[in-house]
Amino acid sequence: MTPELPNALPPSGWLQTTATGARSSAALAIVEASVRAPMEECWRRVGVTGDRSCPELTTFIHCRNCPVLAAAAQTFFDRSAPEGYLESWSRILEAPEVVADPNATSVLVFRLGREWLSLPTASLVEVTPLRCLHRVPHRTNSVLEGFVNIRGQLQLCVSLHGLLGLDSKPVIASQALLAQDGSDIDARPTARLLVVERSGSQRAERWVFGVDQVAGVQRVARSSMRTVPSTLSQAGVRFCQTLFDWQEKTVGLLDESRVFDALRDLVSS
Amino acid sequence: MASLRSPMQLLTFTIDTQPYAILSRSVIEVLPLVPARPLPLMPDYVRGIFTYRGHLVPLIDLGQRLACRAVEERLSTRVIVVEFIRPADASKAPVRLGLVAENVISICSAEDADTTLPAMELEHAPFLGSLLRLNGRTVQLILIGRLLPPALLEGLFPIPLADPVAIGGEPL
Repeated sequence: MTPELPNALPPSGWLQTTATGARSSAALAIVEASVRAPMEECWRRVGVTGDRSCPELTTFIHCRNCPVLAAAAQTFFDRSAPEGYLESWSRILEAPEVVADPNATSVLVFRLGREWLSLPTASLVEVTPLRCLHRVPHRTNSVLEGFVNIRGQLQLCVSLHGLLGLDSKPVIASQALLAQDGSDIDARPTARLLVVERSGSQRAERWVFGVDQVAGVQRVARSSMRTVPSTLSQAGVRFCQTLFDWQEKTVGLLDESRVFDALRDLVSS
Repeated sequence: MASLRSPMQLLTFTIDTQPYAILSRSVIEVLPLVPARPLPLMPDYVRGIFTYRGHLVPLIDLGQRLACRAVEERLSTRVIVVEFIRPADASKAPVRLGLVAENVISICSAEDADTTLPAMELEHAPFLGSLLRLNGRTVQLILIGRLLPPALLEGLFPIPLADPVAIGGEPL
């Protein structure tokens, strides 16, 4: 992929002067020609994986937008089905329709240290890779870690490890010296930042916190949830009063409003 | 049939190289061409019956129905699972059919049609709907509710004996 675009442009610059209709008709003529000719694979010769000399690239930017590639892709479906493909589909369709349980809630399951926890998906805004943390002098403590840049906005980054009293090292703390170009990110491949928002609040109250692993969104039936044994007394119990089983693990469902309240108290004090 | 001016998505396919379309709002799912168990003494266009999500659904070969020629079995030949409600059925139980067609790979909008020809009223082919001129192709709309002769449809999906009270108190 050598960047030889200036030389690759058509010498007369006819694409700039012709109307849109003329451009698409030129493309259609290419489609017809390529359909007649057996699989020219022009995208490998003059397209984005070739020397980028195709004049149509100024119109379509990328080969995936070009009708020639679309027509070639259609010939892909003109083959007969591979062996065992239709039989495997028959087996899939044998299974009865799965009706979503209306009483189930959708939660995002994640891991903090050794603890598996979850939050209602309704309060989740985004799961993003780790990024550079900007500490706040004299304000950073075990819960408030600083600011992170989320889509151009500085958001408060907190440590749920610190809030819940989990003894493992917070994710972000070790990322404080994360290089600006993010070259360190691969060091902890499963760690992510979660952006959460208090649902139903008038003014957006957003928090960002690091987790060690995100397992994805799960639907949990309310009937399979149970309360934390009352004999247990830990700081975490205050925020997590419901448990459910998922893949042979016990996952705690965080009470989002209590977590948000506690975070606001700790940060504003 | 709704007016063609309203925003309407069409699922297009070809039968014997000719483009056809059905209204996408009646489509539940598009599946690969799964094998069907043949039903004895059926017309050519009934390929048989197949299991769809735990239900038994008749499989109709649109190639045989529209062009008297079985569809070619390729990856783009797919089963369109459609659902409709018969006006004659008081219980409003939806009827599901699997339609086998070729080149089931794209949808288009009926709004893009240059010209349309209203549905023909043909006794031997009541399922032929409007003709649309779309992107340089003349597409024939298929009315799935009339695809099967009423006698065959009632045989495949017997209408449950309606409660006389529910249809107005008149005993049948």
